[in-house]
Amino acid sequence: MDIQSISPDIIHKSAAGDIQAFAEIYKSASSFVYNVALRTARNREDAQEITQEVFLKVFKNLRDFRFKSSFKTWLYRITVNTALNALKKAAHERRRQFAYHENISAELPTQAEAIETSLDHSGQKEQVNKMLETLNPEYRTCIVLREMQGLRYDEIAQVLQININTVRSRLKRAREMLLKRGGYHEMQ
Amino acid sequence: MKCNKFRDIIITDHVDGELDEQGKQELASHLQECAGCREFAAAVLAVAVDPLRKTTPEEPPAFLWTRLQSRLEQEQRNHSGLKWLQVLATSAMFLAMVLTGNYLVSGMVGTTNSQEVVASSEVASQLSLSEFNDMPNEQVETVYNNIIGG
Ligand SMILES: [Zn+2]
Repeated sequence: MDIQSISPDIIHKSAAGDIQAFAEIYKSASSFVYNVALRTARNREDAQEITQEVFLKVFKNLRDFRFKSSFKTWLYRITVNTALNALKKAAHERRRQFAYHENISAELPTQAEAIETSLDHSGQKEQVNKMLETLNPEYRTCIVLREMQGLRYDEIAQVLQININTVRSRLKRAREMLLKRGGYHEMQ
Repeated sequence: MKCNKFRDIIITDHVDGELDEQGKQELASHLQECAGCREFAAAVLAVAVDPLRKTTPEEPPAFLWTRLQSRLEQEQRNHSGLKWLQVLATSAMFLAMVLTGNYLVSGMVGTTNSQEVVASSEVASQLSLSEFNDMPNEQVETVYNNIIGG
């Protein structure tokens, strides 16, 4: 069951306020939304909050969905924008809390993050999130859509409303940062 | 093509499967003769691509839908509560207009009539306030009863 398989009928019914029909949309799309949120947010609690917000927005705005763009692209865009806004809000909070020393805010994990780390047994996921955290939000969303969701360049461009060359250069910059962080220095 | 041109391609189109046939062939023949670019390609995959690509997606917890469902139901109740109040406000306004109309027909002084109209439209606008949006249903009912009963 994925987003592509959502029928126009289900979309129309949901737009008219049919919660049972909307449950079908949720079933097909929640995994995508939640995983993008997980990779963009700092912890599971925030990711759940973002997921809920995305589906509330979708439910309220379905009536205005005109089938001009694909439903998938529309939903992806709402997801990315909601996740980005949450990220900016969190960054703003942190800056306020640690305003006295810029570097400290980058080093100190939040309490929620510390709890998250202790709950995360897989280690691998923790490492991935640490990698992503070093990237700025624009690069991060590009990487998440590409690596976790397997979107092609043209699809990422549509979702983020940027051109393909910008997608390419963001992926390039992001990966160069990850390489550097991983201790790889280019040989001449 | 120089190595850095190839590396731009390796770190983007190559690892993302976006190269066309010609591009693939050009890169392949360069990689055959250039150890530096081979090493770079291996590093990009090992450090910057595979760790992210290999993560397994996580299913959202089941309680998330339950929570969302009750939020949606709540939204709908509030919405229909608001609609009710709008219907009520419209009929109140209509009634007020009919009454002032009768007043006018019965030949009373015109100046008091215009005050009457202003007063009734003020009541109507107070009735359709958006504050009811976030009000739980019972509360909307209380307001409704107060307006009707009082
Ligand atoms: Zn080379």
